This record gives sequence, C-alpha cells and structure tokens, in this order.
Amino acid sequence: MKLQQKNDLYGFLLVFPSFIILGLIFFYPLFYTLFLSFYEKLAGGEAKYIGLQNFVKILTSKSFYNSIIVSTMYTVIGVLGKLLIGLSFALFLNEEFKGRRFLRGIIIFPWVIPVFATAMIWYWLFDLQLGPINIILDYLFKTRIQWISPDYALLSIIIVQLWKGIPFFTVCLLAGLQSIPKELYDAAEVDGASSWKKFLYITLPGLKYIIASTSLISGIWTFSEFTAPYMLTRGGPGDKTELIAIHIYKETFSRYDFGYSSAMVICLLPFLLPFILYILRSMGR
Amino acid sequence: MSASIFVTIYPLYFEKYGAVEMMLNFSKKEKIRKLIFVIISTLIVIETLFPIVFAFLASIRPDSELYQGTLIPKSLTLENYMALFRPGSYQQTESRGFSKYILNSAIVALSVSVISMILSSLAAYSVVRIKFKGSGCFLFLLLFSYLFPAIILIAPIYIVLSALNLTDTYQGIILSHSALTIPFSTWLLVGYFKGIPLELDEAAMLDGCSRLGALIRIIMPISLPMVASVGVFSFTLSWDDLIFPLILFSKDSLYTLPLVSFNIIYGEYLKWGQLMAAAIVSSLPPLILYMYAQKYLIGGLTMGAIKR
Repeated sequence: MKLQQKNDLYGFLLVFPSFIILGLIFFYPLFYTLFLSFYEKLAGGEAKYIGLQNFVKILTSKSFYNSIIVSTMYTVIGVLGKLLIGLSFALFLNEEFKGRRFLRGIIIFPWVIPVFATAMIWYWLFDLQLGPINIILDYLFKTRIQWISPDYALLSIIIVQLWKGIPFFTVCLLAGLQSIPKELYDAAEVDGASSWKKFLYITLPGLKYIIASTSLISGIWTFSEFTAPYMLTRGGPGDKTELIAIHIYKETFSRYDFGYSSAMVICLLPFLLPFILYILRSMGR
Repeated sequence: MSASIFVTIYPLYFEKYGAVEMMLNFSKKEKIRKLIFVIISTLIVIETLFPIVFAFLASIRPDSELYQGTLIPKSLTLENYMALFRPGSYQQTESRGFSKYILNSAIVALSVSVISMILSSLAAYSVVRIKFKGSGCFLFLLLFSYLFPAIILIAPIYIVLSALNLTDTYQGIILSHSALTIPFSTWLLVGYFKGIPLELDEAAMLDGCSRLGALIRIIMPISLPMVASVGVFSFTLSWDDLIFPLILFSKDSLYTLPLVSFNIIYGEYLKWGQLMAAAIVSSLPPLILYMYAQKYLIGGLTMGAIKR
C-alpha cells in the first residue's frame, strides 16, 4: 500500500510539468470559456454577469452563421478533395515502377514547406498581373482570373489547402495499402476477380479505418484552420472566406469583448465534440 | 528424309515464331504501361513542385524582369537574397535585416522543441512504465487536448497570459506552443516506449539504476531517433505558428517569421522577388529537419490507425 502510493506520487511527479502547461494554456482556458460566456468581459475590465445575452447576440448575428457555412464548405470540399486525390496518388505509388522511390520523396514537399511560406508563395502565384498561374492562363486561354475576389477567394484557399494537404493523405493511405496482406490479392487473382472488384472488396475494406481516422482528424484541423487562409485573404473580400478561426480572432481582437468570443466557442462545441469523442473512442481501443 | 526434317523443324520454327510474336506483343503492352506511368508521374511531379519552382525562379530574377510578366528568367541574380539580409533596405522593417527574425523564430522553436522532448519523454515514461493511478485519465486528457483545436480558445488564453504578464515575452509564446506540441509528442513516445521490452529497465534497476536512471541510460538511447523526431515535429509547429505572435507581440523586435511574412504581404508595397526569397529561406530549416525525421513521424502518424 505504502509502496503503491509512493509509486503513484512518483509517476505523477513525472507528468506534473506537462500537466501544468496543459492546464494553464488549455484546460483552464477551456473551463474559463464556459464561465466567461455568461459574462461581458472587456479587455482590462471586470467581468459582468449578463446571462444569456452573448448567446442571443451570436445566434441572431449573420456573421456567425456565415463563418459556420464558410468553414463547413471549406472543410467538406477540402477534405473530400484531399481524400480522393490522396487515395489515387497512394494507389498509383503502391504500384511497382521505376522512379517510385523518387516520386515518394518528392510528394511530401508541400507538407514540409511551412504554412506561412506556402501562403506567401500562393499569394504570388495568384497575382493578377504577374502571377504565373494567370500568365499561363493568359497564354493558353487568353483569360485571367482575379483569384482573391468575391467569386474565387474561397476556391483559392481550398486549392491551397489541397496542395498542402494531399501529401498527408497520400502518406497515410499508402501506409494503409501496404498493411493489406498480399495473399488476399493473390487469392482474388486465382478466383479471377477484376481489378475493380479487387479494389471494391479488398482495398477499400482494408483502408476503411484509416480513411475514417485520417479524414476525421484532418477535418477537425481544417475546420479550425487559420494561418494560410488568413495570410491569403484575411477573411475577405467582405466575409467570403471568414473561416471560424478567423472570425473568432477578428471578433476577439477588434472589440476586445472576451465574453462574446467565449460564447462563440461554446456554440461551436456541438460541431466539434462529437467528432473528437468519436476519434478518442476509436483511438482508445 | 525431307519429310522427317520438315516434321522436326516445323514445330521448332513455329514455336520460335510464336515466341517472337508473343515477345513483340508483350513488349508493346509493357511499353504502353510504361508510358502511362511516365505521364502520370510527370503530372504528379508538376502538381507537387510547380509552386516551389516558380517561387524559386522569382527569387533569383531581378524584380525589373519579373515586372515584364514573363515566366522564363533571362538573367539571374542573388540580389533578392542579399537585400533580405541587409539591414535597412528591407521593406516594412526599417532597421532590421531578415536574420533578426530568423534568430527570433529559431530561439522560440528550439526552446519549444527542447521543452517538448524532455517533458513528453518524462510523461510518456510515467504513463507506460510507472502506470500511476490516474495515468489512464491523463492519457485521455492528453489526446483530448491534441484533437481539440486550441486556436478557438485564444480569448481565454490571452487573458491567462496577460494576467501572468507574459504577453510580449518569449516565455509566453514558448509556453503556448509547448502546450500545443506536448500532447502529440507524448502520444508518439507512449507508442514507442511500449515497444521496448520491460526486461531492459528491470535489468538496469537490478544493477542499481533508479527509475529515472533507467529512463536516461536505457530508454533514451534506444529511443533517440523517436525523441529527435518529436523535437522536429515541435520545432516545425512552433516555426509555423502565426496566431500566437499575432495576439501576443506588439514589439517588432520580438516578431517571428510568420508574423513578419504577414506584415510584408500587407505592407506598403511588395517586392515579389524578396518575398519569394523570404519564403525559400524560411522553408529551409523545417525542410532539412523533416528529411531526417520523416520516417519516424509518418510511422507515428499512421501508427494508431494500423495497429488495430
């Protein structure tokens, strides 16, 4: 009993520093958010209890719904695109051919380039007059696209997301493909199954779990993405690309009403928690 | 006589002819297959590399040439890179050269990676080997904080940090970044430590090592590649982050690369060549580190999914 207690104490001491940092920067703020959402708290001022007023303000404001819709579109289109393209890349790279190793090395480049550098590069690629994309479009089709404009801004940041995010999917799915036993394909070969049938009945079921977990994790990250979209568009033009993280940042640090932005976090929980808990459950197993 | 020759040669001839025919056919099929693979490979390479290639080309051309709107460089120059590091000439930042901001970013990112390597090793060891009461709960909280997008909590985090007088300090940002990196780092190391046979530390402890001694002398040397990869992961996350410098720093002397890059883009006027040089230069440290750590990180990322 005594020894067990000593052991527990010792074990806890080792996690204590991590525990403190996480508590300070993550868990305390999370609980503080719950509390603040019922208060009006301006920077420097005392918190004043105002009941549900913050929530009423949020649920009647157009900009909150707008950012939910923009974020959802950005996430759903982006993750589906990354999944489909990443899956085709992974299937291709899983074949035997010359130069496969080289290609696998090349393919992770976009993933490795820092997000902010990615945004700088694409900001230049998208430029109307001098950007390479428009120069090529002009040369081929005699047309130019104003990428960071009301019609195209969301598409632009999704394109950047795809370019940056495909490697993660490719790499994860490739690892998944390689974990499927070769014997299954050999057996199907003997039975005379077509490639399509093999894909449908061996490959897809074999990848089922990894597709789900990769998409969900990427989905959560994408839903709350900030750096690249903010650098490319700052949420604009207007509020066309005001993703949820950009919206919260703008609301918090333009009005300095921390109660209001805390209430926004609470309103987001129903969107986030089910996914997080689902992944936690499957990871814990 | 002649008939017997015919009888013996004809099948041979036929067999040979048939084989050639077959070979011709086979190599044709093979050629088409090869061609398709070359085409798809080329498309993938273009899709992956074109932004980087264009950025690099823009960074080594004089700006005057860039403004003609052509794609292929006629003359090459290193002026963009030199201007970047020359104090005073850099747009936005009157007196400082780019090296100041590289240094700032390096200080923050290196501190985060060292803290993250040490603390997550201790935590992972405790969870895997000591299994104290509540370690399961700790692991759950850890994973929860890994999955929860902390960025939406910036308001309360800002309040906490300003109450502690940590805005406009490196301590504040290092602490924040560490909170983002520790969960995944610990998760990676927990998986790795689990694979190390228990007999190893038992033997060390029989020889008079303490628990911490076993961690430092036995576990750490074996796990060095993984621990280093945790360092690389933490370094790059910190190197990449825009939101914390944005909310915490008001003094230009503290700025890290992402914030400086943001200010350049939305500054008075843009010099494309210098902007691309800045992007290339700031990509190099993570690029070099990832080359090393790639296989361990990918292993860690996919570990949870495949080990089922």
